[in-house]
Amino acid sequence: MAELMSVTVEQSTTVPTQSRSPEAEAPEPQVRRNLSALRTSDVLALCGALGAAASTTWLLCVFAPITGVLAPVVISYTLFLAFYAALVSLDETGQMVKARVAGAVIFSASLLTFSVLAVVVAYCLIKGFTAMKHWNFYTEDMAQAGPLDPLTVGGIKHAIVGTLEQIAIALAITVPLGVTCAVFLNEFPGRFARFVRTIVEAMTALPSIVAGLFIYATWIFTLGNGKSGFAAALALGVMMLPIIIRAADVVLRLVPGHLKEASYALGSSHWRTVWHVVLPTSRSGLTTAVILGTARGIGETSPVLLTAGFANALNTNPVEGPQVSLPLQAFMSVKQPQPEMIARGFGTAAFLLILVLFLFVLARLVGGRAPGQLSARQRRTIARRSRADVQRFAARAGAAVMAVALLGLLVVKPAAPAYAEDYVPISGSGSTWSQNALDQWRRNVTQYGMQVNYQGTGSSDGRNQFRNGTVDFAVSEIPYGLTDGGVYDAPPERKYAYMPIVAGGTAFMYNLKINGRRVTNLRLSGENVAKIFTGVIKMWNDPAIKKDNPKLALPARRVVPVVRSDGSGTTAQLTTWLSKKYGSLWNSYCEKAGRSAPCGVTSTYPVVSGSGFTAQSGSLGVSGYVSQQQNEGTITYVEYSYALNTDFPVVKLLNKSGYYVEPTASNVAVGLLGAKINSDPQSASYLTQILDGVYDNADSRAYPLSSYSYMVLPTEASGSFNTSKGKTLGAFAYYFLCEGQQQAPVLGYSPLPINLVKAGLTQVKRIPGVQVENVDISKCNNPTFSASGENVLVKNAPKPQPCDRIGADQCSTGTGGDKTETPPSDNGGDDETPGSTPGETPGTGETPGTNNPGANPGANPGDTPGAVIIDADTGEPIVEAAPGAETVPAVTQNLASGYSTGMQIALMTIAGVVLLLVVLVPPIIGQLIAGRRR
Amino acid sequence: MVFRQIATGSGIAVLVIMLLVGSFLALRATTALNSAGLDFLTEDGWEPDAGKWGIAGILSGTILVGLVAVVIAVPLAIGTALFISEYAPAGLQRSLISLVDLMAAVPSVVYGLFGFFLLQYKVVPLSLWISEHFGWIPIFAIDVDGYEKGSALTQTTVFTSSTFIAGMVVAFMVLPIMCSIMREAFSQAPIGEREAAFGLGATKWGMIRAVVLPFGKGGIIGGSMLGLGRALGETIAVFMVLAVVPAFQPNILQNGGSTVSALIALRYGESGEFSVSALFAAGLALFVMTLVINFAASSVVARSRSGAESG
Repeated sequence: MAELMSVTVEQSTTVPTQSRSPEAEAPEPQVRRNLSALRTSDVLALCGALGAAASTTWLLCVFAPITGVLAPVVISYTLFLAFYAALVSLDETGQMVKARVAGAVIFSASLLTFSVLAVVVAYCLIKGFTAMKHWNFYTEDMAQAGPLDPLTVGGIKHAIVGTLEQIAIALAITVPLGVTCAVFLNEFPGRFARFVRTIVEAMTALPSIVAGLFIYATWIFTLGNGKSGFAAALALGVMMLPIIIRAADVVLRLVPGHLKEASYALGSSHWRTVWHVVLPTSRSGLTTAVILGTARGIGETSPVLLTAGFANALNTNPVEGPQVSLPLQAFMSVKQPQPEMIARGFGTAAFLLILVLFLFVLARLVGGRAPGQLSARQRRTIARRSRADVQRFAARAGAAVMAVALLGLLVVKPAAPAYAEDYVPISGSGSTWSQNALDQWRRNVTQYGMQVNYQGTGSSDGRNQFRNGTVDFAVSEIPYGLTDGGVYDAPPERKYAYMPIVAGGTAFMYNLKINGRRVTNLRLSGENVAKIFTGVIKMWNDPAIKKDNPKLALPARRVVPVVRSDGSGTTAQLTTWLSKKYGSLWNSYCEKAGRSAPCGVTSTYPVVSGSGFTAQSGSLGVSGYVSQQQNEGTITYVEYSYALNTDFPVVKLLNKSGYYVEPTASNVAVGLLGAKINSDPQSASYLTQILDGVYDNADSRAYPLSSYSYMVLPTEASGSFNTSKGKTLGAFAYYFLCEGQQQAPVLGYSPLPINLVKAGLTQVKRIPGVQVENVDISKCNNPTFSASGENVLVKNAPKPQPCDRIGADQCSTGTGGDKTETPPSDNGGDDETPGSTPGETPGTGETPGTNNPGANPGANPGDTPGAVIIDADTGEPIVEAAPGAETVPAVTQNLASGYSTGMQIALMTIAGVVLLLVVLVPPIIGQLIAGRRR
Repeated sequence: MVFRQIATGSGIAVLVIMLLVGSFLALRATTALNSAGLDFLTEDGWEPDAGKWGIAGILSGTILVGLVAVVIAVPLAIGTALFISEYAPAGLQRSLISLVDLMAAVPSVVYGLFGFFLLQYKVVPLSLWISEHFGWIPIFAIDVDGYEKGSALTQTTVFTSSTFIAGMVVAFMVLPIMCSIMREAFSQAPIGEREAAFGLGATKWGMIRAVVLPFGKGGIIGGSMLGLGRALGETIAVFMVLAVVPAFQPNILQNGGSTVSALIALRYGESGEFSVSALFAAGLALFVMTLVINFAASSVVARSRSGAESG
């Protein structure tokens, strides 16, 4: 960092003519020349070479098959250099030609560098402007805003606050420690100081993610603290400390010795010399070091990724609960497929960029000069400053007062907490399969004052975090206790229970085009899906796929299966199905990937390197990859809702009765009639699913890859989970088991049937601290069952159309998120099919859009009044006090949450006092020491 | 003396923190290393719980990303540094220096966005072109089943999310740092020797070759190595671009690759006690590698005649 600060321009003493213009070296002494100006021949040579290169390249492109942007650029650049050399050699010597060409190369290299860097910054700012121009982007958080909401809703206030708090804590730790340590290194040299310096130097090589991993493993994993802003600040601190020490060390080393000696000669003590000479002299350099360290820390994503957790709502308390920062928010947003979220991500990154650039400019203004080096203006002001010493001390006192006032504000501010109700925030993580439903519910309950943070990090991560006690609940498709790749997934020590939250179909989303037109009606048999995801079928025009799709002339394209790179419940669902139904295919694939057969169910998809598979992390990662226009030929497995969100079609999968069906809400509900649910309440895996019956469900409407998603609930207060959190979790569970299910079909899920809702409601009672409610499930307006308990969704599920039956016909209607028709493309029956298919389609709604009104026309209009009652029941039992008898838990809750706000204020006060001490103690000690020495 | 005690105390505190980090890292890594033994160096997969894990794949992937970054960034950095210190007009020089330093502060997530959304698909044709014409060089080969060279139906997906693209993004990230160190070294070339070269009739390029480059050699090597060190540890930009497949994958143009830091970012959450230790072992390997490179770089920079500070 020294080169950033001690910027000296040595060039100025060179003979100006030689350093400025290259033509000064031309060995033609007899002609008198204007040395500073460009000669006409130079300009002409340059222009001529440029023109010649451009036109020659154009000619080449016309006559030779050169495509793309890059090849012409490379060719024309090479040609330009050649032409330029030739032109210059007309009136210069060989040496000069070399110099000119070298100059041109150097100039173009730097031009390329600066233009790339400019493009990086400009791209981010321009893309970010879409979101940044809305004022609400800075004043709102994302608690209420959904991914599909327009940019006029939601913002990054929570991330801004998070970043500022985290960096402030990190600085409060690193700056006093770092600067004192740098003073130590310089003022007390010796063997120990050298050792410390070496260690510090070594630690600057510590990759930032390892710093994050260290805090994750100690503070979070071992000590059992949750992910929080403070943990992130610690990680940033570990990362920034060596950087700041090193930079401060370099700056302090540059303090001229004679200044210190002069101070000693005046009889000052060592301390006074440091305090009054060394530190003031290097003040600008130290400030620069700190600001640059801050800029580095603010922009770091990886340590925060591991330690801060993810929250969509404002969390002013850095010690408790997840707190997102700007880079993390940007990173998380752009992973989403919706253009609005990507725009928000760019906006966040652009805001961060501007913040960092601002800090940098600040650093330049403050420092950038070596100690003792003064500008003319500084020299002028120095005289004025020394006259105003008294005022300076007064100003310092004023600053202290201001600091106190600011801290007072800080302490007062959280006194009005964001959580209006007496619900404490809870956080969970896990499945991305059901994330879309959870995100919707999470947003809906904010109106009751509940703050539920959910981070879709994959089921394996969720189960693991729940086991470690870093989250309050987890969501997973598969239970604990399975053996994956020979490893037993041990259940947690804390007591827990499973509760089904929603049903859905694992869909196969694909990106495929015939003659530039997207295919939306692809059908596949289970065996072909298995063959695709085990690398047996490699081409889209494989005869086996052709057999499934008689009306499509599929292209000779590579099939690119996109699988999950993280541990995922979706992968577990797919591999369970693969291992049970297509065991031999699956086992031979597994063996190729280096696993031992029989492979069975696994959460991490084994990938054979070089097999043309692509691995991406998260459901958003895989669906985002498939939905890229360029990525034709890709196919992935995700929950149906992701296909709806990205407007992409899904595969119609062949079921046992010979129909190709789509994972719509009703088809999933029908399919799940075949699921076997563990109904032993004593069993640890009570309510978990055995899906063999679903795979072979003989109903013509059944989707074979249907399944339930589960929430893992804590059933005892332990670690960071207490009864007040249990209250929030319980109320949230009541909400989504009953009212929340209404939205499932719209989101791309299938609501739970009555038996599982009932069982779920009894499970909720086991959460410690829950306010038990007697939910009248007939008023839930769950589309799956009527008031009498009959499964309406199954009853009303439309029969598949005849064209969906295995055979020579094929429906042309679109699927998933893309309902555009795909006309038959085959060579054969072109004339008849267009006539027949459109005729069929209007009559038979087979998509959720058309399906829902048809399936539950009675339920939907009746929704709202019933929902309102349930609202009151689930959300605000105290206000409505409908069932009565809840006063006692209510009181305890109030106490508990009051304690937490009190805690918050106390923590803020302590932080304030510590900061005050940091500001005030050094000068006071200085005064004391000085007084004693006198 | 109180002051001495406070200062020494802070030194000790820093030492303790640093040693704590270091020893914890080593301790956790040792737990994992003991069970893996020599397989740690030779195994290329990453399934710690199944006992099949090692750094052969991810470390080679990290090095490949770093090398791609260095190969792209170093020529550009040298050119830019030379332009700033030797060619740029004095008025422009200061602002260019500031600009380069400023670019070094741009957050990596910004580079990641640029790489993922813009660069990725611009580079695919380049990758295609390189693989078609230089595919006979092993690292440029494409080793995907069914991939046919020169086929009109070549999949763009084969070339996305590759080590090459990730390396390119990282190259632009480390470019300013390298350039800054090199420029510092170049600008310290003594004026007397520059003028002597001109006096002997050297052209500007002749002078650069005879004076500036030999003087800045330490800066070039040191700057490149520091940039490499930075490139190896980069997480988020790589994580955004690269499809992480922990396996030995020497074909840099091909989809999929791995780096230690991206693997940590991907797997830390779902890892149990032992897997976290395994990640620590990988982190330790990366740390040691970065450490060696950084120390080598700073000693090269310090020993060179230019005496440029390594910052």
